[in-house]
Amino acid sequence: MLTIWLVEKPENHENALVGLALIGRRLEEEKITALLQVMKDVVGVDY
Amino acid sequence: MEITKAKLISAGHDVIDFIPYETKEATDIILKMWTADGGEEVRRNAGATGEPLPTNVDRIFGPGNPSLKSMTVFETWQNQHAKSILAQRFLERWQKTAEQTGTGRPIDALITPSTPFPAIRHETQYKWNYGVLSPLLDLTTGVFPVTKVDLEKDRIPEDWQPISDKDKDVMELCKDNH
Repeated sequence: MLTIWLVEKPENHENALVGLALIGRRLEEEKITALLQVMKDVVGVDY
Repeated sequence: MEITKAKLISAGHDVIDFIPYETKEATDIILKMWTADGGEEVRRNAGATGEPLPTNVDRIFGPGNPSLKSMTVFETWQNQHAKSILAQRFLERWQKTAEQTGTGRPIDALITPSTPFPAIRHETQYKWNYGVLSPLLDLTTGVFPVTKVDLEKDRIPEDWQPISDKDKDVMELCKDNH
């Protein structure tokens, strides 16, 4: 079976979305949901 | 990360550094958990229709993984024990951030990259350490968008040095042909 190791070019990913993860403790769904709204309000997106 | 940090600070939020040293070991532990049965469950489920495994699934659970084999119960228990110890260490470091936050409580949340790169093309092989703490330790996790790849801004710095072999491999995947 051939294994093809593709070398990626940056140009292939121009304008690709870049995001981050927001991590809490176990069973903190309400808090993370609220904090995601904070991220939206404070950080937003620059596009 | 820097865009997010700057915007949070200018809105009055406090940001401290937290380095998730546990991700390297967490990746090893979780890979062992996923392949503890030698990939048998994945192959049975896919085999029900006779369809072949997708390339990136085969690389972990199929013949594309030459070191794939079932673990003994003893090895599985050792791995789960290692996970408990890692969970304890991570919890202690999280709780200890209360000494730095100035709020009397530990950090409210941890912001990390989810992958070292944007979405990859199908079939591309890649290595990662990011993104494993959440599933391994059942941590509530959300994702949020920040920006887009900008070929002018997103260049490899002249003085960049890898911090590990895996870091070097990941950077090799994306050759800067500029």
